[in-house]
Amino acid sequence: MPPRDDQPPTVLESSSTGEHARSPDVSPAIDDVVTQFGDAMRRTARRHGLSEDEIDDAIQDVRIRLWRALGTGEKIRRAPASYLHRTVVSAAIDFIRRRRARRESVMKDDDVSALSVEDVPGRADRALNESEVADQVATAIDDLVESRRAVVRMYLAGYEREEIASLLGWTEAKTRNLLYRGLDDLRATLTARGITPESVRRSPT
Amino acid sequence: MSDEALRDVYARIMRKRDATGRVTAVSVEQMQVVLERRGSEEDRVRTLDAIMRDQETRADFEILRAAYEAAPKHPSRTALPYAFAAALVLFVGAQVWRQMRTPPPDALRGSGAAVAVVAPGPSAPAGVPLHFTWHRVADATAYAIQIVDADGGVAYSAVTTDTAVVLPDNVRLREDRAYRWWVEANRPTGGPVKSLVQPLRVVGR
Repeated sequence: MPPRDDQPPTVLESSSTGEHARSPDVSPAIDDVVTQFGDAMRRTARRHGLSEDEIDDAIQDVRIRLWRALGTGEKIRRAPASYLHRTVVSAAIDFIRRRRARRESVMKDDDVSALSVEDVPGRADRALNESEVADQVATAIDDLVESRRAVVRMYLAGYEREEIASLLGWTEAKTRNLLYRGLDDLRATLTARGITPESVRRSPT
Repeated sequence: MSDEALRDVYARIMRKRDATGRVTAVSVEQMQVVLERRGSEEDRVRTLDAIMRDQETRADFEILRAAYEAAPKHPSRTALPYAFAAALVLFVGAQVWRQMRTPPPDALRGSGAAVAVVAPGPSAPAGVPLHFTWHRVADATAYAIQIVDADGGVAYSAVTTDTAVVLPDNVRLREDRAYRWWVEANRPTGGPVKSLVQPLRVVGR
């Protein structure tokens, strides 16, 4: 394919002998970090609402950023962990900001997304019931003591106890204690408000 | 009410919140504070509680968390000791370096997925701009080109989204010296693919 005259090539990063010492192919070093990022993403991201496309996009962003930042063997040899860290985190932050901007744009353009299943006449009663139960549970969680509330939210969102402990910097025992107390409080509040296991079963998803 | 039932209702709450477009305003910087365990414990708990209030914010947090896991700021205590890690890097670097002095094996296989180069040919006249071009690879998001001299020193490298690169004026390939160049296409899936290694000699007029 001949060079295009109508549009200059988009060179993301380049360097020549002046900047490069003897430089090996940078791919293996980059692949190592990208693979770790990809593994971490795939381990947790699916269950937290990220699509395959988004995971792939994020991985690609990190790969390109590393490629651009570590374009020379010299830089790879010298790159301390903190430099890799900054590069990868910075790529992730940019990706998150673009993701947020897209989300805001979609919300502005598509207000009908705020409509829920209540708009389907045949499902109105069931939806109302689901909605009531969900509202009651949401309120009951909001009413929990702060330290227990965060743990309960994380647990209900699918985080393992060890993960919660790690993120909060707590011991496993402290996490377990606060989680069980929080869940007990939640159940007691829901029972007091008339939300029983039967209420939940009556309002399937 | 069982944990499973509570999780089902909680998932419903999250979907409902997402449908209304109500997203918790937790900044990326606040998320970093949590991941870096900075600030007070109370603040971190409060931030995590806010992050867990909707799926989108939680997904943002997970992307950032994956970046932190992939490239930790400081090597963990369980990581390889520095000296061994450094030796490993040197070893890998040496292997890569050796691969580079001989053409990369992947580049020689010439599989159907490889990058097909177009120009320049094995010799190019001195004093005119050197255009490097290649065919597009399906799904490729970026291409890295490397030009090395006979000793393996990198004369020029660049990452581009295009299928062509013009050697900048400030990069001079010496006349009658043997160079080699190749292109590596980066793809979101299936891993990178390379071109055959191309010989290049700039011939004086």
